[in-house]
Amino acid sequence: MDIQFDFIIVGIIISLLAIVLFYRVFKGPHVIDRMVASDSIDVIIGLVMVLYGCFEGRSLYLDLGLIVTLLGFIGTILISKYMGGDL
Amino acid sequence: MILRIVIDLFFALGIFFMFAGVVGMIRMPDTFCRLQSSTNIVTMGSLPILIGTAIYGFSIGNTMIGVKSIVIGVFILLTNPAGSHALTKAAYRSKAKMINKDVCDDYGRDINE
Repeated sequence: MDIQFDFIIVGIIISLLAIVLFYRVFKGPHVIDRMVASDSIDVIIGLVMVLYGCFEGRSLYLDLGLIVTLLGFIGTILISKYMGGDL
Repeated sequence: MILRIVIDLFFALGIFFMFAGVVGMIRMPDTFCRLQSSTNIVTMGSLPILIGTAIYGFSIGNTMIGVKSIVIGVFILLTNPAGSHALTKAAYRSKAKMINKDVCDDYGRDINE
């Protein structure tokens, strides 16, 4: 039982929670509900990339997780500005 | 060995808060309640996991993993309240349904003047 085993277990549990969040993406009665669930799924994907980088022992995947989180934040701000009527 | 126990405790804390946030996202009756529950997922669920990976990166001597984990944590801590605030404002302006109509509504009074 190495410590790399823990990263795989945590990544699988987090991915299952992200799959549960897809229920709100498909069923949400308002656009903001779908957007909130998508934002949470995006952050969870970044976390899974960080955990995989720790499993591999190289820090390349951490850059990818940072980029995914940053693009999700920009998309969230853009869609919320559009829905609020400022754009 | 003691370091692995500390890292696993941080992971367990993150997974607990993330599970609580997902249960809130499924079961809350309102758009605004779901927004409040999503903040629970992102901030309180991802920060302990990033602290755990930072401790792991510093402990095995790979400094880049630790520094980049801390950078991602600071970035999430700065940007997620801004994103949630913008989403809440957009949900109010696009007339999302509120479950309880007779609540204290100061923002509606402010923008209708």
